[in-house]
Amino acid sequence: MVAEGVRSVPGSRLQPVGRQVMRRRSRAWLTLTLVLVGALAGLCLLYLEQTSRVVELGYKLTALQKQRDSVALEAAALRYELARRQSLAQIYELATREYGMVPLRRVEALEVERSAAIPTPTPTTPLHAPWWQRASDALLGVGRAQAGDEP
Amino acid sequence: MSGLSARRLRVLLAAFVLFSGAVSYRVVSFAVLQGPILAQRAEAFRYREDIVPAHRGDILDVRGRVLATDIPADRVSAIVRQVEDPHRTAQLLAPLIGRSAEEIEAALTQPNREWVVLQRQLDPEVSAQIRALGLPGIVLDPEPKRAYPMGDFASQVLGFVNWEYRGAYGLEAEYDDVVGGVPGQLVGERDLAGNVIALGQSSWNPPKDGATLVLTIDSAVQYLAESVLDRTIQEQRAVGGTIIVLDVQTGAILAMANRPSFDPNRFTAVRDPALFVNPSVSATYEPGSTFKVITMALGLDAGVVTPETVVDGGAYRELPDGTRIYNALFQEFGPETMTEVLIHSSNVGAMEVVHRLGPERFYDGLQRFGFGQPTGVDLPGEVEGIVNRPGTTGWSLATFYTNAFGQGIAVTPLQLVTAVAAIANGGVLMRPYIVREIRDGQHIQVTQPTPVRRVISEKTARTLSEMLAEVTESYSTRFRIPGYRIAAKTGTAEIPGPHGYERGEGATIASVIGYGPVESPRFCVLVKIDRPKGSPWGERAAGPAFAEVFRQLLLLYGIPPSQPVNGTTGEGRQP
Repeated sequence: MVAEGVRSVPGSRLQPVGRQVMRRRSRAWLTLTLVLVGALAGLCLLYLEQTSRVVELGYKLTALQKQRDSVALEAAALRYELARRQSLAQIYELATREYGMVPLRRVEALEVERSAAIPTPTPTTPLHAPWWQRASDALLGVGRAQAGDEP
Repeated sequence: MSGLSARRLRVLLAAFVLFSGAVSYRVVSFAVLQGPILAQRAEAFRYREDIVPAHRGDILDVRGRVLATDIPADRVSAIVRQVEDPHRTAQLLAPLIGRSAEEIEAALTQPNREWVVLQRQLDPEVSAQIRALGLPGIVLDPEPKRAYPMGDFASQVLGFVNWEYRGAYGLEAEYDDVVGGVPGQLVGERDLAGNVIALGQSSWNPPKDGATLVLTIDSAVQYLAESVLDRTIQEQRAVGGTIIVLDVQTGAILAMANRPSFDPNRFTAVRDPALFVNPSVSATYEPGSTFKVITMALGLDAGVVTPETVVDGGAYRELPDGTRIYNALFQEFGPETMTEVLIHSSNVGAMEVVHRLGPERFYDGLQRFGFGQPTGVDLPGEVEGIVNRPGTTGWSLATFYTNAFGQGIAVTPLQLVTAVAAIANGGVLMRPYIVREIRDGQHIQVTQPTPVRRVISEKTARTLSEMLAEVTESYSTRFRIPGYRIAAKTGTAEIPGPHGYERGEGATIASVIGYGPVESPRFCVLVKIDRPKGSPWGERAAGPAFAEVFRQLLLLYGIPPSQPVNGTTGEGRQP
């Protein structure tokens, strides 16, 4: 009887069966402890890994923000340069000095007779093909253009 | 145990006690005595607050051209204790930052200073040069800088931004809350290098960038006005002037050119701060004969005169107290119609109109036209002008009669343009405005034209326009705009001084005000030349500039001529 085997009698030694059971139980506990410690260590490592990644990403983000700011500043400088070059005084200088253009000296107004109004085209009613032709076109993949279609 | 060992042990014990005592003292000192202060310092170091400046909004003209924007710049500072050789540092920095070497050295050797700003708003090229020097203790920090790409273009309208990055004059000041934005704030736990720790506690209140202003100013018209004004001032050897172009239907200001002006990019170089003020709204002058347009409008509207009413155009009008008020150059025109009163610019004729109106109707009319009160334009520093009404200390019968031809009354150029524009559009006074749109992210606020009140009837406005068109035709020997009917009136105003009106060369303000085309008025233009020496008269000194502005304006906006033109229509000059 196993139950009798594990039961300890005061003043008597443990039976061999009881030892094996105890050993098995100890091993189980040890395994469980190791698993728990391993899991805990894994969790810690995971946590450390995640924390490191987050911190690393944080620094990357800061660097990217700085880059973005720098690009924004560069864009602002370019916008300013563009606006400076669009200055009318600069354009005038460029046009007259570099391209030899001259200010408008003479303006003549021309009288132009308005031509007669163009007649409005009358809308055409779309032609309806018979059903058998439409069915045949659909089967053969034939398309037909007709007057009045939008360009 | 031997005696030697015991002694060694005692020495060791004493050393240990001393060391422990020292350590304990430091521990107590750090943890108890200086604890709160050190904790505070550590907190301050770890949780530093950074103010993140907001980007100031751009200012654009009606065509989208950039008139004011932000550009990157740097501020150069020194950490005094880290500067190894102040003399050499000063020598190297001086030519780059525009300060003397002595001044910089003095700043770098100041006792009890940890930090000193050496120069602000440096150009990127200068920053790069300073960075390349690698001077110990010299630090560059980015800061925004306001830039005006077109230099002195419309400078008194735009204003500028001061060292504190706040709008100081012009639109920059008027719309500072709108374009300035709201700075952000970053409070976070930082590492030794000052970087925010991602996992630390932090709070981020982002900055709100300023809105973009779109003006009614058309850069093409503004450039035209400024160019013509510069040339006229040079030709007439004048001290300054103003040209305003207003859209008569809406009250939108298309151009507001003033001279002398300044370059807002270099506002620190300006010695006279009076240059920062916009004289179109902040300075008053006696309008002289251009004011007869208003007098005549009131007379016609009240029905006391018609264009055909004939008055005796003698050389003067004698007041009950014996005071005589003369025409310019003591001219005598004989009997003249009201149209001729305007053509001759007869003071006597204008006095007859106000005589028939009486003070009450005259001054009520002036008030209706907006004189003696701000126009409400969205520009800072607008003044009311001076209109002395009966019962006030500055009023007398002589004032009443001289007011008829624009003396003894002070107006701003914008007041006069706004009032004449009311005649041009059929009798409705419009509130002038200069900001067309406020673009704040997705939200766009568009300014709607605002009618203030009707000042004269439509019929009166039409009648007066026809009369003024005849006046312009009478100037054809001096200036003309072939193909178009323009309503205009010249003025030659004397300048009051402490001892009466000034005399001699350069003692007048020559001006022309007008609108057109008469059939369907679009623009009202005022040309005002201060103290011309070429000719004192409005017709000669300001007339050609007025015609040039109008001619180019009509071309620019593609308005066809309304009258047949023989041969060549317009002879343009350089803008």
